[in-house]
Amino acid sequence: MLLIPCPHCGPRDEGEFTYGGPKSRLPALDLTADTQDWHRALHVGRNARGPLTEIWYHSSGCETWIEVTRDTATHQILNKAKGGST
Amino acid sequence: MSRLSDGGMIDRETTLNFTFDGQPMVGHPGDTIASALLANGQHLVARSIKYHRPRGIMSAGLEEPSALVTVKDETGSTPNLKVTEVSLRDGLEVSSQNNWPSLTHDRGATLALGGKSLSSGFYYKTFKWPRKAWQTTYAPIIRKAAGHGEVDATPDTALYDKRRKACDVLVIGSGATGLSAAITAAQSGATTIVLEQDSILGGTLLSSDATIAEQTATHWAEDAADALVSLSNVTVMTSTLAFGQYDHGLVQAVEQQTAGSAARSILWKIRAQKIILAAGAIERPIVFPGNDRPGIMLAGALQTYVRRFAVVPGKRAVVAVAEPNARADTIRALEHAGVEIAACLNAGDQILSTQGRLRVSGLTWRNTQGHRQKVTCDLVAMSAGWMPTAHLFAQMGQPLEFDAYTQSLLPPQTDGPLRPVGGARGVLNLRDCIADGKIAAHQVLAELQMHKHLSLTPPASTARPPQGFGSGKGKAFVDFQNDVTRDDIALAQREGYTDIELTKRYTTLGMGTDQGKTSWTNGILEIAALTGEDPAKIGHTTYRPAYSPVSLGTLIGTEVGEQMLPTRRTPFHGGFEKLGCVYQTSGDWLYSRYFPKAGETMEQAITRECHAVRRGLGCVDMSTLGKIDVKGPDALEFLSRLYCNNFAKIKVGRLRYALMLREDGYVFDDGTIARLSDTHFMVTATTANAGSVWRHMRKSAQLDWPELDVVLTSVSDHWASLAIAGPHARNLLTALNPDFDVSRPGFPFASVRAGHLGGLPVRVFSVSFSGELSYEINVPAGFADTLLSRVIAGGEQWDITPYGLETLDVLRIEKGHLSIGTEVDGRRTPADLGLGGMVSHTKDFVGRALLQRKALQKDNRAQLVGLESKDGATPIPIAAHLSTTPLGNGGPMQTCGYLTAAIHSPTLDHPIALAFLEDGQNRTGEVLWAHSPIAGKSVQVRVTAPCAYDPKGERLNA
Amino acid sequence: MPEILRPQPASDATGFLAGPLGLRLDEVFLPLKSLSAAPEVLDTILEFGQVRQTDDLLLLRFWPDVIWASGSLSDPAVHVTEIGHGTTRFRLRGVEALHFLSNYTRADLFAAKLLQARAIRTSLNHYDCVIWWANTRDIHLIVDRSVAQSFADHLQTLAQRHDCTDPLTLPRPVAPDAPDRRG
Repeated sequence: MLLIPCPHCGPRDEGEFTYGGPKSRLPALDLTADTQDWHRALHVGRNARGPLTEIWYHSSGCETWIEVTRDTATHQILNKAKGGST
Repeated sequence: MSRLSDGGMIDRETTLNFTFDGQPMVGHPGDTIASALLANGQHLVARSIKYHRPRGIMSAGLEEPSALVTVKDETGSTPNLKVTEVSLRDGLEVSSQNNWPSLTHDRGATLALGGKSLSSGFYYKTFKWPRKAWQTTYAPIIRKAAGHGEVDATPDTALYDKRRKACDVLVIGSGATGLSAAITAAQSGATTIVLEQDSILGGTLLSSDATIAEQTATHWAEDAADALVSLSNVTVMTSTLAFGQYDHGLVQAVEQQTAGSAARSILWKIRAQKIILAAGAIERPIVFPGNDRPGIMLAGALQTYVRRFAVVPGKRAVVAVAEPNARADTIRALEHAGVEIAACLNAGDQILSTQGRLRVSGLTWRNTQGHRQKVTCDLVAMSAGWMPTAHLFAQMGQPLEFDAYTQSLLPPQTDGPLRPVGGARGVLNLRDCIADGKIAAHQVLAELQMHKHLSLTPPASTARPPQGFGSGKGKAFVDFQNDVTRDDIALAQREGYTDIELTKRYTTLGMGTDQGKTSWTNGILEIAALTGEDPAKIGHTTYRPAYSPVSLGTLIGTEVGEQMLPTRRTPFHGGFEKLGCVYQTSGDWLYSRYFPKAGETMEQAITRECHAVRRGLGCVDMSTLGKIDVKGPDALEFLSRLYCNNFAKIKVGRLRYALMLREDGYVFDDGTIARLSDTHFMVTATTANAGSVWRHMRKSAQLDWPELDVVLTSVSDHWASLAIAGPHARNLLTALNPDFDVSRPGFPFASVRAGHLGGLPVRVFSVSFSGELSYEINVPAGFADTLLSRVIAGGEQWDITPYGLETLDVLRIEKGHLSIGTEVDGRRTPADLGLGGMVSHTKDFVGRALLQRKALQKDNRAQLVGLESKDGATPIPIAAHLSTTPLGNGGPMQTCGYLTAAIHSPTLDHPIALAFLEDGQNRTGEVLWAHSPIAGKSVQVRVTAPCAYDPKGERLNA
Repeated sequence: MPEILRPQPASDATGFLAGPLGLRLDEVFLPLKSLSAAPEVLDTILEFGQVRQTDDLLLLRFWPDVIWASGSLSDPAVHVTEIGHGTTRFRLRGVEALHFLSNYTRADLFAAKLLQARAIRTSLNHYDCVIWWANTRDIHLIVDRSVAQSFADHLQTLAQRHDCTDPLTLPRPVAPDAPDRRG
């Protein structure tokens, strides 16, 4: 159970959030991006061992989508938490 | 009774009665079952799992591998409890396990004679051939012969709970190190929690005869405990075992409540900024032939039984402790108990064997001069050193490192939230432990910026003597619980299972419920000795929670039956209950299912309800749909981007059916978009997807298009929604006293009106899921009851019939309408569902790009079709697969589709179905087979359009 | 004829919870509106993470872009949506009220940074809720209407698991500078 640093609410238990997957590499609408670009962005993941920027929805808190950079191997959260060390 | 006349932390004023294998025994408050059994002279407690060897009590803690019993009290019986972990209570019935007919005369012991064939890997080898023999012969025999206790099958009436706590500093363990750390942390004002798995604080101080600052160890511990309990920023939790460490400073612990408490045990989730692991160390047994007999005990455990429990553990003892200070401690304890010392072995002596069947009776060894010696004894105190209890550290994945200096697995330096200290990192000297606890506390306080940083040097870990004891040949046990001997480990190496992970699984070393607490280090040293490999390179296997077994009841807490998950009720729940509604759970919700009249079966009720809706008037609860209020100058643009159909020209007061796609082009959800004003919309989502659609909209507004000026508010629960449907729907709507025009021209299909019905504020949507004339009346949820009574009263003249989910489903199947989960299953494009014409070609929307993929654009994909029985009467089996051929003779066959729904249509009075069929839109009229091998039915069906009833929708414009 | 319409309760909660803690749970209707505007606009009304109760207006701000209010505010930059029938407000009272709840909320209700605000949106086991209090013995909670009955039942279940607080442990002397956890 991770402790996720919400920029509004401070560090909160993972259970207050809904996971939204890795941050999308393409904007939600882009008439210039063709099917191949979209396919690569959505389906061909890199699944790297190391820092991953992903989005979480604070469903039990401020109901805001936030970006979190998490190390997939150690679960260390690399964001700077609100309010310093706490 | 083998009890000292005074001393010990037991309450001699009170006597507790218990039984062991039916035999009455007595003990005192403060005893564990282990100390009480020993005080009653009971040394034989168990039979080992494989060889059924007589076993006794080897330790005084959770590391106990052999002495497992079943304990029965007023709440039921629990198997596989360690005699060392249960506090004695009056009335306990304790039974030994894994023996027949009795502990002393166990038939299973004859297996010991076939010892060689039961060596490591025998399970694996017997599995291979003959294959059938496993099920018919081996499994039943092994199940009877080997096992731990039996589970009590009566329902558990105990209550459990799960709770949370948070603190600045969590201290696990309350020995010298833990108490010292806790006091230091607490005095700085940090919120501190101390967890101690024993029933009192003190750890090994309670069995020590050392003095600290002129106080006895026990008094020092008592004073420290008193100091902690008196501070308001400290929470002391005894009988609470921290069993696992998780991410970011989370620790889980089980608190065993005292008898008579409301809850039996509580699972605690504790989030700490810093965790000091002062869990001490476990003593390492010596590996020598016959090292498992009852009466052979770890030296520290012996001291605990003598000093803390005032037990006399035997008459004549052999002391096999290499480390001089530990040996002296052991001898003093034995002398205090009046035990004669038969022999004191020296480092380098070679232990050859032990004698005795149900209890050790003698020990034979060869001394360093080469002379063979033998003594009689009924007690052996053994110790090969100490193994840090760093399990909670290792659970996070960072491996422990084998340290030659201490001959143990040590946790490396870390700046993670959890810090092992004292015995848990190899510091054993008492004064050093007190210092280590204090220094660690200062360190974490400095990191928390609650204390000035002090430059203190932590003490070094304590060295072990260079030489232990040698050993002769014979069954020398390494893992006592799983009966793994030195020879088994050697076999594994010879047969090539040399990697530590393979040795573990091949021999089952460390795989018992004790998780190898007393066996792992010896296992590594055995492998090193056999192969010449450096122990530091052998490594160790994975540490996982729980440190000691946790009952399922504790892990479940209150989440049983109705309390498993929240239940959602609609605002009409109470009102419908009065109308005789039968409910069912569907996801979170309690759904109205059907409304049987007296004596009706469900089928009869559904048929009656369907007829009522198609021919007269019905009402149904639509409140569970997701409802999202969308406002702002860019509201229409926002919605346009999310849904794939074009509604740019939607007028105020009108509504449109809309289809939302996923990014990959498949249909995600459907709903209606109603325009209440230029910049105000009300959007519905299906019940199942209400949450996901809400989150998706929030994401689009917040992350994807923050430049759009749009405001989203979830109003799903704010509006109760009751649909009135049937040819008389408008009549009823009129009778409800609307303050707006409800005539057909004034309120056409696919419109919305806001106003009042007899003073009730409402929004009425002219939509239809059933295919009949229908109005969904939305009213603020607190007025749902009022609306329902008026609808039932007003509709009585047209025989209004409330209906539920069952009828709703039948009606929509007759119309070929989509349902989430059945037709919309995440693999369908709009065209697959017959809605290809809805997809806009003039705007960009979520999913547009990947919908263009060739595979999604093929025109012969599986498409939604309707089906009817070829003979017009045979029921079509639900979940059947479609094929052009009759059912073959059991081999694989080609199928071309499958059913999503099948009913007997009450309206048309014949069977109909919905299905996905390859190239279905081009196969209308074709006759196919619908096969359901599970139901044993095959029926010929004809392909039709999905909508079986009123395909032109004439009923809606009545 | 429009009679005065009183909203029906969402649960049957009124009275003492089971168990020895002597907590009282009551449902009290609260006519809430959701006020949406840009964060900067809302910041001038009430800061994030705060509650303000004046005689006739309750304001709750747990979202950057939304304030919940028991009345209207006449600011043209603010969009107003009625949500009062979709939310259920409970009142939990008793000496142990905040301690009881803090066992089950994902956020620690006794965290130092909540000492001033005394308000939070978090979840209590599986129930999302808004919680605020003026003192530790009188707590307000808001949950979705559809789970109100389930929530009240759940608090009953939890209350049964508690024992009377050991009088020997309360009150205890307070170390100087130690945070007071007794409210």
